Amino acid sequence: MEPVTIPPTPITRLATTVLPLTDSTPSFTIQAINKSFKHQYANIYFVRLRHLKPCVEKEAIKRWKNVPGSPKLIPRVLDVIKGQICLIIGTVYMDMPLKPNVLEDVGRDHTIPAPPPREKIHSQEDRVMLEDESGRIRLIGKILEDTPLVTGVIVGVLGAETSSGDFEAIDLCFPGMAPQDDDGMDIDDFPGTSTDSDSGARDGYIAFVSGLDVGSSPRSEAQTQVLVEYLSGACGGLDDQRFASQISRLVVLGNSLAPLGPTGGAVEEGKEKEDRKSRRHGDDNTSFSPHPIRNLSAHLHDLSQSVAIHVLPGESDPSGSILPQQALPRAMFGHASSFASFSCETNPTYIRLAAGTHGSDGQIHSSRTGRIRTILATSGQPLNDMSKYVPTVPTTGLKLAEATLRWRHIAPTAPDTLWCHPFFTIDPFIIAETPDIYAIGCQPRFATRLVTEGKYRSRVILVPSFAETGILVLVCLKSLDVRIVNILAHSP
Amino acid sequence: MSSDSVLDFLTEELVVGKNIVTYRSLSHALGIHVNKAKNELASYHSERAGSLDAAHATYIIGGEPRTSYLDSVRDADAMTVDEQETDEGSEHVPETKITLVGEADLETSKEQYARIDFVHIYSLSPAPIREPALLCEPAKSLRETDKGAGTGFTVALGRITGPNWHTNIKERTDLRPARSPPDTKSSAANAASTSKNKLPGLSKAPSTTEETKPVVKSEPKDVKLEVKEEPAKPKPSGKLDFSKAKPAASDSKPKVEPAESSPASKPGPKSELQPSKPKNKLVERKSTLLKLSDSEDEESTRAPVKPPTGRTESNSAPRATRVAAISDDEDDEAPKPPPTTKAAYKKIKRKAAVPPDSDAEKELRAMMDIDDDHVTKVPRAASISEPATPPPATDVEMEDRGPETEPEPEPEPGRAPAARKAQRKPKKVVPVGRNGLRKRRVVKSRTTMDGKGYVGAS
Repeated sequence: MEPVTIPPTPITRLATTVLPLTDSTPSFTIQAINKSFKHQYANIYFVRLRHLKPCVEKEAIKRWKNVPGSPKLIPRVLDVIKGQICLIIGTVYMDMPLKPNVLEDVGRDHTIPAPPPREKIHSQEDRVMLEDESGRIRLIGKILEDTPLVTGVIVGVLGAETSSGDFEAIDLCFPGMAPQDDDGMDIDDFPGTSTDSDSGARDGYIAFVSGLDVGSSPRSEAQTQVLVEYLSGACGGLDDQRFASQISRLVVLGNSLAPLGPTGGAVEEGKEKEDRKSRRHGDDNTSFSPHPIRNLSAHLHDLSQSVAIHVLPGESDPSGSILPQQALPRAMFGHASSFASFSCETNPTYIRLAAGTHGSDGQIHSSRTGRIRTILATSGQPLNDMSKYVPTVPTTGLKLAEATLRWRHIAPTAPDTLWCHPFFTIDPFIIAETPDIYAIGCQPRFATRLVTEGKYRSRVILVPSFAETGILVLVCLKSLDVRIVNILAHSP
Repeated sequence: MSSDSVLDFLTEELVVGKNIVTYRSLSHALGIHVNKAKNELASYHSERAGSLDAAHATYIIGGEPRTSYLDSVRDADAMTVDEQETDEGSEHVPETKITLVGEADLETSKEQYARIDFVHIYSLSPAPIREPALLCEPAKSLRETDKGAGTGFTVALGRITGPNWHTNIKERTDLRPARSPPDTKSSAANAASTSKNKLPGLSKAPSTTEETKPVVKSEPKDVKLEVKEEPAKPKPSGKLDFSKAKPAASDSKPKVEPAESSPASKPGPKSELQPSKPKNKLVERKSTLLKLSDSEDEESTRAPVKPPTGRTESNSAPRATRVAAISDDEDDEAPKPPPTTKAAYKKIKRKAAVPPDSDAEKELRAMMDIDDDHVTKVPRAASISEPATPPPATDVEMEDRGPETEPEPEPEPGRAPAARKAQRKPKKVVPVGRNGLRKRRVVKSRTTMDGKGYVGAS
């Protein structure tokens, strides 16, 4: 084993600056004025339809202008004329008998324990309806089986009404990817990822990790520690340390704290797969900690001395359960909160980054010309909820994530099966500008794809739980390339 | 070749203390670069391999794996479900795999790598490590030293930080949320930092919070003094107001005091004492008394030596004339330390409030009577001194309050104290026994049962 070389001067990290959010990438923080629970959820659907209807119309006209029969747009869904091919735009509503129904919940036999929540709610008896302000109409057709649809998607349907009153769909049209800011240079203009370690030609990377699950098992503690050491540049040889210095930010995508107590049958099975003696952290005395948050804040404090961190709350984190989850309070993280580079974000959140550092005069100094990258990060609840609607086999998580970009909506199932805040005048989940990086955490496995449509492109990343898989995802800011680091702690 | 300090440290930790030493804890303990620490661990390990006090090593390997994570996932899926994830699935990405293994499994783990980027010792331990969680133990003590040392220390040790990190970090010594509004100075400093817009309040420099604190503190102090001057001069807690001994002089005194103590309070109690001391000891003592009563620990610790002595002597000396004499005596005594806690202060007040059994006590009572009169006199001066032109509201109020209040404003001020005196005089004298304790009636109680079977004591 050859000795590790010591760098003559300390290696410095590449820096990126966070830019303020714009109107097209709004903040998800719920202000006191919006914090009203007095109105119904129906407003969200109306706002969504109003916003996305023109986009669908544009797309539809572009797509179907050459269809014989010159279909017209019928403004109200109920006004369709039998037998005539036409175009209607509305919101999809999936009528699923297996969907959790509050009436069933109230009416069930309370003497026996409640059945566990289903993993999938789709079945053969599902009916797809199209709804708008006037009413709803049932959609039928082969194309519906091939296209994954969930409640809340705004779609344009080309077809004709049948004699039975249902609308036979021939083709579907979605809003398509939202326009992107052209200030971000196209990836074709960039050279490939440079692998030489000269400080002048380093590319900035953003690291994504999810599901740290601090407090769940001792094995994940060691993995987290190696992760911290890798990111702060202690671990590895000189080349690896130089590479780690290119990671300018870390985004933690939820589930940083393990859920305490019995979490249902699914979790137990997963743990049984691992060949480990202790399953609950209470059983193992080596790293038993009554305050997992202290462990987490110690790790984050260690990390925040090296790298800028953004923490998003997840499903198992102590933040609200309705979307958008508000930022965790900084005070929870102890000494880590004393760093200005440590920030707590809402879930979901937009982060706009520019390469370079913020000078003292307020201008951005960067070695490369002003390049702004938009990241849309969520902790996975919308995607997990959507995946209940569709069978996993043909429609993977990645496909669904790509579909959300084309639907221009982060969480179409939002008021229906995914709990969300009752917004009145806006639907903040509408994607007004396609982000460069769309990162979704707490997924069962890692997947990534560069989704393109015309000249718009977005890098979709599904980040798995770190405690289970040890995956850390690195995305190059310049070229949107992805690398993964897989950290394992073997126990003999 | 391990240097002496390293050797000593490692021997002490591994052989004597039987602790695990990771390369990070070694580097923090000795202040050397992490890479150097890795080399030191390697040389220590190789020197002692095979000997009695051999240390067991845990290695960390990094490189490109033979079978990537994605492939392994796909294989696992293929076994369970037949799906075509490879076609439209995720793209293949370069992967770096890092594994933490014990030395026994080093070779087998190395085989899983197609290309090894680095292998180095992670830790040394007296026994082979079976639980990876044990490696987290040294990190805890390491973090403690990190907290104390600051960022510059760890940068020298090999931590990678950003170019402007020293300006970014707002190390806060106190983690209490800063309540004072952000002033322009701190916001200008924040422009250079990379903090987000919505967190301007938090990234305030601790210096601003410290500055605002004393200002904030003295303000309520002044306010409190102003407020409490008028309504409650002598408190029933036993503090005596010598200035009220002479009714004539006392009239002017309360008015003089608020005016005097308010400007005097600002420079602080000590300075206030000096100028007013020759003028009127009673006055100054009273204001300092009030100050002590208003404020809590901070004030009392800051309060000079004079006030506590002034206060204790005031309680013992009922008369203004006597006070002068006693105060001189007490001044010569060694000053007692000021009470640091409110509880202690109250205790002293309570102790002082117990009247000594002497003529002094009676004089005290007389004094207290007079005080009340004068208390009622002063606020009512506005309403009583000009009964001809009372504001209609107060007129109505007085009438509304009923007959009980009517006799009060109407009679002379002299009658009210007389009435009070009459009320007070027939107070019974507490019988005190031989040993100084109060005499109490001791009754033998008998338990009786009444007709219905209920047991009672009588």
